[in-house]
Amino acid sequence: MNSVADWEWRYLRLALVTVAAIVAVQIGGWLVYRVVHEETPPLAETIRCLTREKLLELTTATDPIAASAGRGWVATRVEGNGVHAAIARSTSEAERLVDLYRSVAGELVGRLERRGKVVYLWEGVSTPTQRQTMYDCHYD
Amino acid sequence: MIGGSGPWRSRLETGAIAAILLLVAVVAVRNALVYPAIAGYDAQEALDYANLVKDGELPDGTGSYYTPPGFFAVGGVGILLGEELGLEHPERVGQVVNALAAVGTVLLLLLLVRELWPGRAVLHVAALGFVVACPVVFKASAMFHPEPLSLFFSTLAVVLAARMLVHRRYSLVAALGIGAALAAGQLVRAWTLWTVGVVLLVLCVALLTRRTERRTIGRALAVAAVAAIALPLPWYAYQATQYENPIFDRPQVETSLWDRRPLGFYVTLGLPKMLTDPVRPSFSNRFAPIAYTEVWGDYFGVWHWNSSGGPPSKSEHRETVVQAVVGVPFTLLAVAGWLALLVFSLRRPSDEPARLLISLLPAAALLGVLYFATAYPTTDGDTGKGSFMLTAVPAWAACFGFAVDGITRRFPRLLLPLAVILALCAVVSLRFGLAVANP
Repeated sequence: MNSVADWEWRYLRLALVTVAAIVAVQIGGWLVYRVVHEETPPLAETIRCLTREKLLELTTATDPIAASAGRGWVATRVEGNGVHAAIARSTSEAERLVDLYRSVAGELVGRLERRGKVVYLWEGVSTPTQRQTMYDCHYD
Repeated sequence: MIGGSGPWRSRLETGAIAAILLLVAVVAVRNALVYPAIAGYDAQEALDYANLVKDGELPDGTGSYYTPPGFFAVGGVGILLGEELGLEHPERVGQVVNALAAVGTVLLLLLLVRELWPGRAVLHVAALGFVVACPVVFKASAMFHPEPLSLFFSTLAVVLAARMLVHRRYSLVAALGIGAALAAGQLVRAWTLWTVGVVLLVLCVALLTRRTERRTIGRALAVAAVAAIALPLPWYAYQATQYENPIFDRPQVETSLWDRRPLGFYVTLGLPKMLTDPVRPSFSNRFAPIAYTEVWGDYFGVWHWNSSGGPPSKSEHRETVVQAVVGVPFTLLAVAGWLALLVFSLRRPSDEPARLLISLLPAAALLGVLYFATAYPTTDGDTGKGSFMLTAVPAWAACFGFAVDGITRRFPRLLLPLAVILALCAVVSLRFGLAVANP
């Protein structure tokens, strides 16, 4: 091996060790975090996202069907359109919430939607930008 | 393998490089003809801007008005041409121009690594292979967006500067070429400003370390700097007088720079979601994981899934997870190569100052995007997305090639298994680089 390759290898070896150390620290940090830190519930994640990322205010409008969701619910207004997001424990529970809404108020076209374990009920027909705002804060 | 010797090795290198270039050309042009222009980053703003320029106007403080008009002029002419040809989607002409810019960039990358590391076939092939494996190149080059053209001009300036320094020919024509390429880049996209800084800084280093050539280097540096600054100056002056900020569309927030983002924004890798759930809104407001997953996958949902239709489907989500995993070996090797090259070229700048072009460009791009994301924080992390660092991709590719070459020169037996693993990852990633008609 010539001297240039030797020099290059010295630096490359050091860089590989540095990168491996960074990865090890990150993985170690994550493992420690996982042990000492309880997972944030999706409702808390959703509320934090809506209030801190989207700068929306939560409303107190109650909805008995949303309130029955196993992992909680949240209400807010996006671009003037009110919305309830009910977070179910399972997809089947979310489907049950959708069926409940439909049994009370009909098909609710453009107002009712299930995404995974989250059910959204809008006051009026939602626009793509309104829906996108809620999708951005989708945690289940 | 390419590690052999003699004419066989040369033929293998030529064949591999020709195959990669052909692959890039076919995929890039095919993507430009398939991907709907309206689906890309800031697509409507870009199309509106090009249509205005086509009619001889500039946007009046709306949309992407802060972006220089270089690409939109080309795109506007393309729309005119497309209309003349009776195309259903005349904006496709602009997308094909971007595809050709990507192909041109890969050719320039080949010239660059051959200039800086002549005769190192593994390095050359690995660097080009990195581009094939990196979906952000194919994503951006399929869109109706300024980034690929700025990538081309930025790389052209770096290649011209490297040639000047390697061959020690500091002619005025070459210096003017460097300045013109830097100016053209700025007239397409402001992010090429960091290429300007890097190229001029490296010429300054050469001025200091090559004492016997100071007069000619000084003259070339002056010519390149004047051209790079003077040619785009009218645009910056227009923006500054018309809108106050010559670069972007919003004032900075009142709080001090350090208080605008939490510490986690700078240091968190977003594990494990960076690998298990690499799509928005995971790790929002975290710099590294958003940049990583947007470069190797589709964090914002503009390529293989559409964020406006809600979360990705199971198969779309699986694709992004695979991409996040596939990107790991390329990223780690590129970062290692970059660190090695950065320290090596900083400690021994007089050995070959041209290699500083490679090691400083990723650093400048990282710092530039970090500053941008911190100065103009957005709720969804959009100002930190990896595509803003597109101009640094050729340098990352060279760093990756440097690392692969260094490891396999030290441990020749690793060449075959490493080549096989990386080639498999590249094939998987290339599949993701193919555009879909309805993301």
